[in-house]
Amino acid sequence: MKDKSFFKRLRVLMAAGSIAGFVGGWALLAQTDPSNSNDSVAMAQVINPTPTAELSPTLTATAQATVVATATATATLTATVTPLTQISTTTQTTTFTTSSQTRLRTGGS
Amino acid sequence: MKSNMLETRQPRLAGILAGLLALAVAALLALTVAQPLAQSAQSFLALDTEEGFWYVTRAAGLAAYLLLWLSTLWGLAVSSKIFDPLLHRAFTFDVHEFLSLLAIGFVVAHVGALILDSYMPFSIPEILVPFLAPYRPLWVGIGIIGMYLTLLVTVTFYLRSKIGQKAFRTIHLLSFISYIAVTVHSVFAGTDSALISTKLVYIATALVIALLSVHWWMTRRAKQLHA
Repeated sequence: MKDKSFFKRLRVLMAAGSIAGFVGGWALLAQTDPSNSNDSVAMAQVINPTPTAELSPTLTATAQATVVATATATATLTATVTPLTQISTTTQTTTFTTSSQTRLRTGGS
Repeated sequence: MKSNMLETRQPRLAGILAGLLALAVAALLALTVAQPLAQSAQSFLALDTEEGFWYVTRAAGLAAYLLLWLSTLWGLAVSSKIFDPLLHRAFTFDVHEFLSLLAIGFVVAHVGALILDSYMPFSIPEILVPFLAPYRPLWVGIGIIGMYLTLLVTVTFYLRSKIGQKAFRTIHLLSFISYIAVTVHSVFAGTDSALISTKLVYIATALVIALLSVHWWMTRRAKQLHA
C-alpha cells in the first residue's frame, strides 16, 4: 500500500519532470535560434535599413511652392536689372515648375 | 415556519452572491493578468512565429529520445538484476513501463507537432509510412520503424499474460533495434545534431547503453552456463 502511493507520487514526479524538461528545451530552442532572436532582427535592420520617412505629397508640395517662390523672386529681381535675362530666367522657372508638378503627381499616386 | 425559510434562503443567496463576486474577480484577473501572461508566454515560446511548432517538434523529439534511453537503460538494469538488492522487482518493472509510456507520449507530441507545423509540413502518410518523407527520407524512415518497434514492445507489457513470458522476452529484444533506430534517426535527421552539446549527449547515452548491454549479455551467458 505504501509502495503504491510512493510509486504514484514518483509517477507524477517523472511526468512533471519530463514536461518541465520539454518546455524548458522548447523555450531554449526558441530563444537561441538565430532566426528568431531579437539580435538578429536588429542586425538585419542594420544591414538592410528601411527608410524611416517617405517624402509625403504635402512635403513635396511645400518644397515645390518654395522653389516657385524663390524662382519668382529671382525673376522679379532679374527683371529690374536686365529684361533679356528675365525672359530666359522666367522660361527656366516655368520649365522647373512643370517638372516639379509632374513629380508631385507621380509621387502622390 | 416563514422565518425558518428566510433563514435557509439567506445563506444560499449569500453563497450565490459570493460565487458571482468570485466569477467577476476571476474574469477581471483573466483580463488583466492572464491575458498578458499568455501573450508573453506565447512570444517567449515563439508560438507566434512560423517556426513555433518546429521548436515543439525538436524539443519533443529530444525529450522522447532521452526518455526512451532511460527506459532502455532501466530495462537493461532490471534484466541484469542490478536493482534487486535495493528495490522491489515489481516496483522497478513498473518504473520501466511508465518510462516507456512517457516516451511514447513525447513521440506522439513529436509527430503531432510535425503534422501541425507549417515551417516544414509533413502529411499523415509521410509520417506513418517509412521512407516517404520529403525531408531526409532514409533517416526519417528509420525513425518511423523505431517508433513502431517501441510501440510493439510497449504494447506487450499489457499482453504479457496472454502471450507468455518467452514471447514477451523475445519481443522485448526488439527494444535494442528500436533504440538503435531511434538513435540513428536522432543523429542524422535531427536539426540539433550539429550542436556539440547534442552530439555529446548522443555519444554519452549510446555509450552507457553499449556498456550496460555488454554487462546484460555477460550476465545472461553466465546464467545459461550455470543452468
